Amino acid sequence: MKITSFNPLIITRNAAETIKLFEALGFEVKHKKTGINNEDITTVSMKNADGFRVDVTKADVPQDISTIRMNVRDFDEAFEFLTSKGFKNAQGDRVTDTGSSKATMMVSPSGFAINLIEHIRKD
Amino acid sequence: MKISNFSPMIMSPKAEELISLFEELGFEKRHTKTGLNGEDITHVRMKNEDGFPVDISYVDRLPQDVSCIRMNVDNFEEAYDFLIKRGFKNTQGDKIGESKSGKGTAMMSPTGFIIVLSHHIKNHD
Repeated sequence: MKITSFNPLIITRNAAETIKLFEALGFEVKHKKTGINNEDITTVSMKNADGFRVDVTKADVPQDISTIRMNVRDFDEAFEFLTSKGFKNAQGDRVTDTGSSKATMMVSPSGFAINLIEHIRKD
Repeated sequence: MKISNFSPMIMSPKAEELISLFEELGFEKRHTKTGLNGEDITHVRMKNEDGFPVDISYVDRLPQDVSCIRMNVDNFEEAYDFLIKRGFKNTQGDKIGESKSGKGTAMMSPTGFIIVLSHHIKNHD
């Protein structure tokens, strides 16, 4: 399975201060996506000069959730693999499709989460 | 402040299962360290062929997995003070884990996410 990105992702109500913190640590906002899931969800991708990445997702959650953002070439393959290992889709049967990507959060039996994403490449 | 590592980390009472999972995802064990923090804590560093790292710590006393960020810095005190100024708390109170190879502790942000701050001493004997 080809993994194309693998970095920490924080889901938080307090995205603005979290982004400021990482900016103070030397990270810059590189990409922003809004209106995810047709809800008021925004994800910001950040990177520092040495190439380290962190994503911050603004969502209405009661407390911060630390996850791993894992971009893959084949979402369906990865989804089936994780499901076979007991992971559950945090959205039930729903997979977020923005047109440019497919994504959902998968939670392991032991409690950690992977945000699984495929960027749909246009041929 | 120089960040020398910044990667996902999972503290887990079921580390072996997680390590197996990541091995199936193409990660290999690169480094194992035992007896961390003066406790029975084992830390495994894994990496895949594209260089993506993940750290797994076996922490028996945890009821379930805790996902966090591992951040290695070149100046622990500077980074520690920086985080404290921003409202982070040392999850161990005043304790900082120290060994021949470095020092570290888990810092919790005001909003609830954790950065495991560490300083790795190279060429220790």
